[in-house]
Amino acid sequence: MSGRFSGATLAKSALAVAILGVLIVLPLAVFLAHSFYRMEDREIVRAFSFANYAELASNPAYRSVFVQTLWLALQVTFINTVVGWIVARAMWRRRQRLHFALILAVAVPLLLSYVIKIYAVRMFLGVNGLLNSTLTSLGIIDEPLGFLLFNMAAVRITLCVVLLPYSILPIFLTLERVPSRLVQAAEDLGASATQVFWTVLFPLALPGTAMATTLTFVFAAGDFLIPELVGGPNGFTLGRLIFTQFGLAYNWPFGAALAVLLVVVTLTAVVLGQRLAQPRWQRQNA
Amino acid sequence: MVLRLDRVTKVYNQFTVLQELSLDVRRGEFLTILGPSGSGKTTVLQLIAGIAQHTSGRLLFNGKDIGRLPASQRPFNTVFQDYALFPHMTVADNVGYGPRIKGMNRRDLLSLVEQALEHVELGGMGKRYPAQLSGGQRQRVALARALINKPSIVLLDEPLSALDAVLRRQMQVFLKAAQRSSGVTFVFVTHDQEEAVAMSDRICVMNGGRVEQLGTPAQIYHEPSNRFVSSFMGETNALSAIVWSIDNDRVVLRSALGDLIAYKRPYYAFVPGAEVLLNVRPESVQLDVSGGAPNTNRLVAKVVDRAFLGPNSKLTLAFPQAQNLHWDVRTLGNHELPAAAGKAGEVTAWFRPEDCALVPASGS
Amino acid sequence: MRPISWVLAGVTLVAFIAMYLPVLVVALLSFFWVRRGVVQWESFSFDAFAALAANADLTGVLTNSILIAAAASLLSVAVAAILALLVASRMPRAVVALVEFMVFLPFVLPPIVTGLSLLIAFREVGLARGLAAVTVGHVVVVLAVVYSTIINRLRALSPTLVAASADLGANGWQTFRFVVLPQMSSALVAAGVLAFALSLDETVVTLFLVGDSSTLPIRLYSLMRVGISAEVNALATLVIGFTTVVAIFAGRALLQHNPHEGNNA
Ligand SMILES: Nc1ncnc2c1ncn2[C@@H]1O[C@H](COP(=O)(O)OP(=O)(O)O)[C@@H](O)[C@H]1O
Ligand SMILES: [Mg+2]
Repeated sequence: MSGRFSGATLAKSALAVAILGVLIVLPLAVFLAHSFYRMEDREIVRAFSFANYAELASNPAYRSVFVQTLWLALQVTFINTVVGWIVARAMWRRRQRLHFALILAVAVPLLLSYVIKIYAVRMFLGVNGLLNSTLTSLGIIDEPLGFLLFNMAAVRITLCVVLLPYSILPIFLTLERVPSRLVQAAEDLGASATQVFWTVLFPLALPGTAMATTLTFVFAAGDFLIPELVGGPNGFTLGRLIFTQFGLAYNWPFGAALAVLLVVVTLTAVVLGQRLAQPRWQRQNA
Repeated sequence: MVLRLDRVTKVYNQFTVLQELSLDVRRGEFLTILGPSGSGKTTVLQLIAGIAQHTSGRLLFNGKDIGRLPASQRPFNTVFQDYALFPHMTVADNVGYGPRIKGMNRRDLLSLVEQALEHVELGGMGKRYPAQLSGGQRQRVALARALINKPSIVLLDEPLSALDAVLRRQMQVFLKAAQRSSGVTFVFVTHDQEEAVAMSDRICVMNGGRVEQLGTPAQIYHEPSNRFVSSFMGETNALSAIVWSIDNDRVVLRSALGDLIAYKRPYYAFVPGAEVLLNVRPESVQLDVSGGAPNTNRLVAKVVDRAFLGPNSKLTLAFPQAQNLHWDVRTLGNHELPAAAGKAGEVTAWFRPEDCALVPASGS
Repeated sequence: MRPISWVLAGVTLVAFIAMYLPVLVVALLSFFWVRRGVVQWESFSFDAFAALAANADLTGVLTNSILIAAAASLLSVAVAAILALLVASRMPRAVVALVEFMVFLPFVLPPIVTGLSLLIAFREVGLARGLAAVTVGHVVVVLAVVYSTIINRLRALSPTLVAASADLGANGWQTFRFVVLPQMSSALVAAGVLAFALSLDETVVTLFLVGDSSTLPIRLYSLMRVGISAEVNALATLVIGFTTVVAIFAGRALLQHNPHEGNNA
């Protein structure tokens, strides 16, 4: 206790906080401040006001982009969590060799360059892409399907494909840590495979599920590369809107305000995810 | 009999863990499977429970072959060594798991669980989580979780090995009482022979995937059928001997310590000339204090070591006729006695013919 | 199998196909022509790769990427190691919580937020867009991962050792130099490799900070905006092949270090 506020401790704490303050907190603070400024004649006017936020709240165009983005992120999160669970459950309890191979099979697409994954999916879905030309040459369709690319559906599909490893892996890794003893106990007490799943595996792998949903939601809600590259004019999202403010539209303060909105959404998702990851029985034991 | 294992063999990756093992479990008994670590005890329980599948042989329950039924459909429940309580469920939810899975309605379930918890002296603990309980309490939750399903057999895999000595004694008494009052058949696994003797109606001694002997604790202790059982069931003094002659109720033996006489037990199948191992428990060896000892089985020995053990003392005897042979003797209270006896620490020890057991010298 | 099992197996299959097929198609198209949906097997050639190699501009882009990754990994490991040593040396709990909250912020926030906050901040302090700005941006982005790799190792060490080494004085320095550092070194290397890999692939933050220069992902991004070409396919194929090989080797190395404890009994 005596050393609690000793000079050395104080100095060390100050150093650590200072490093991170400069590197991380200061830029975020500057960015937050900008969201209260405004543009006039392509110059940033450093006068504090809520004008950007008022514009955000009142303009239905922004509101609809916001709602559209949330909806998109929720859909992707839901689809990928379900698919992630199905794949993880299928990978579970395999023989050792297969087990390694399966982990690797999920890790490779995870590690693969983000831009290249988008490129590959775009190519696959594109008007001249393989899916269309295959369907055409097989005579299933007469003309290439235009609707596969450059719309919201394309954004959804690409997000799902690109993010899938991020839901499979955390779920699979927590599933692996569920002691097989508990599964045996449940079977011994009369539980069917389905009952074992819902009463033992699913609740015990909840932290992994929370991790998967949080990662996926945060990524899907904030991404702008995928909508930019496969979304076309219809696939407009919050991320893209922010990006435009720093490019063509050139309104940094408004862009900052939009990004603050994104931060609020993200942090809400993270806090909810944390609660899910720490269910009551774990909090009580802590 | 309620359950019969009929020449059951279990092979794991070409390694035979159980070799044509046969075993009958009687209705309502407390049967203990006793054996050293790695002898296949857990495997036997897992085969019965359906957690593992046997390679060959039959598993008969009330005469029906249940060998291919999944674990969930067998009327047995297991108390696992590490309890295997569900950490994410309260004590009440753990105990009520079986009935809930089978679709019992909430109200019946609630009162049933309440009753079950009272029965294991955990009334009012229902809302806690397993992590908030002590080892002994978790043990009792595991027991209640098994008993609530009214299984035909409860299988217990070394349930007490994680507990400290005092708690262990308490739980032995508790388990035994629970078995008596419920009338359910218990198949209990342990590697601790004292525990086995204290709790069981019958003991099945296992070694290397085989049954060495099956019998009451007294039979197993006093009438071991082979060297493994006699040495595994507590301390024993062994002596190689040859059967010299057999009459109605006595076996005369030749040994390095001279001629000895053993009471003939009905199951002995020795013929004169057979090599045997004579076993005498340390507490059955008497010291001749007043010179009134009988003439049979008298041994002159020297005390080479003594250890005070509290309620009794252990003396180690050596014999002039046999180098390297040491016997242990338990003396009650009068452990100072040998100091006064004979010249140069010599004592006369003896044992009654009915207090020794013969096992074949060869074999396990 | 019950019908539901078929459905589940089908979903699993589709999931793996979705993760792999597009990528395989890209690889295929870098070697072959496709006409009306049919791969022209006789058209096999390395032309696309030759065209890629002839593109001198790409070498410069690759050099940029590697330089940035090297600098960012060195810097981030240094900063994270200092932070981790400070945190591991008996700091008040509240400060530790604060430090870890700050470290993990860029990890939790969408990269677009990190990117534009750095963009704004750099303009405020007069740091021009370019490779230096990108390097600092990458340090911020990878810091959380690097820090947690190092702190996990330190927490596995004896706390008294770390505390002793964090105290000033010759004795502390010696503990650090001869006891703590050797035990940390493999974690430092692992963290550095991780940082390098993450930096090589970083796109969003880079896009905000890169200015008129370019890195590999940025170049890919701008090529993609223009359209699909055999050259891009060739480049993508190289990256895919490289990633797969690295993943297999890394996986092997990791698995040899901590063999899987089978609980599939
Ligand atoms: N799942 C398994 N795979 C391979 N060998 C096993 C497995 N389970 C048990 N064994 C082997 O079977 C033998 C008996 O094990 P076990 O039944 O657990 O013995 P006990 O419970 O008496 O200690 C041991 O040699 C053990 O290594
Ligand atoms: Mg065992």
